[in-house]
Amino acid sequence: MSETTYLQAIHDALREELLRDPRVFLLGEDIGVYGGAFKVTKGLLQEFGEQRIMDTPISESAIIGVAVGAALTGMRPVAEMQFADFITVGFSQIVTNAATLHYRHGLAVPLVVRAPSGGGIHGGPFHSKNPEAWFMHQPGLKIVAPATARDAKGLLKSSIRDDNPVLYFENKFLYRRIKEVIADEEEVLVPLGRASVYRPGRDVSLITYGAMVHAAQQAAEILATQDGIEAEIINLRTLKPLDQAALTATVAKTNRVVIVHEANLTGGIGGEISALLIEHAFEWLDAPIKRIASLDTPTPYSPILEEAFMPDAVKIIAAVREVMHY
Amino acid sequence: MPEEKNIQELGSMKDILQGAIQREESSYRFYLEAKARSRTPTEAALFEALANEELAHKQKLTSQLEAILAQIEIDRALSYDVY
Repeated sequence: MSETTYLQAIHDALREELLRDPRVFLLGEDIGVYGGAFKVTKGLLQEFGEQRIMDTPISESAIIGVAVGAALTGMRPVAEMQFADFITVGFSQIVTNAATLHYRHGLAVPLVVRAPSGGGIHGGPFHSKNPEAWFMHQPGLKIVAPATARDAKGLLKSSIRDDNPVLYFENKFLYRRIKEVIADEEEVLVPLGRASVYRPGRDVSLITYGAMVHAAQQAAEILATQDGIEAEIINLRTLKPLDQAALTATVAKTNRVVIVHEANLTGGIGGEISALLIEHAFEWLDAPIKRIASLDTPTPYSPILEEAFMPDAVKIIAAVREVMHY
Repeated sequence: MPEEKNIQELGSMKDILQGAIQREESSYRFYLEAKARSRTPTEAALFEALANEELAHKQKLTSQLEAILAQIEIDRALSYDVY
């Protein structure tokens, strides 16, 4: 049985939902003839035709605006941002229109915006952003960020079937680096709003998502070997709504927390998680919560500086040792 | 088994890694065959350990090749975006 890459899992989820539901269609820059900048949609134009796989002009505001309009008529559009960085150009369509229509008019907006995000690829400040926290502040949106091929597939299929606007942050560093066996005949659906225990442990909780799940795993293996520390890794999978029950449960078990995300530190999701744990799990904490994140600068072009800028296993290990010795 | 190439015949980094992976695979099979011909448990254990080392080398190189191929695709996407 062959392994499915993270990228192929996204492709397969799109294809399966296109086959399952005639209301589903895709739109974005060069997703048709070219097959997408990263080739996620390769072959779909040939299979489904230009009525369902639409190449658009270079205008993210138009792409998302059209998608919102189509969703209001009962379609289920999946819009691709070529890079998550460009979502800024469609920001108002998401937060002003898509996110508020249910509250203003009682209307469902079954829209998915796919946003290839993340650094570690030498893409510099315009092709490496992790902008998920900007949208955390806006009521009316759901936000997901898969770390594994199975989650990439299952979360995307669930997002397409959801009646709310969902921002789907796929990590492009993981596209062809992560893979696992997913049987062709298996229907993979991962519910939104539910975290998973990626690695069970008793001593400290590493709460993370996206590419940092794999950095946390590297750190956990080293900590187990060198320090005898068993770290539990919580893979959030959905960032909004956060799985508060899973967060509280892991703190009650380990009593120590390190939050890891690739997005910049200040105003990041780690701050929200930290506040939630202080409000709801304070009695279980035996040490201050630590946050490991990218530095508060734009992503550097220089590979050496980018390495220093981003979180990695070494930084996670140092933070874990600090909370363990508190 | 495909014929191994000399280093001079190998062009890109991808070719070099693929050649190296092939060599590790070849060494792995060599030690497995040596193990099968062993006359004592000590010999068998030695050749098995050596075979496993070659297998680990192969896995490491395969993983490095996959990372390089992944980055090549990212670089292509980044270049396309510019032009």
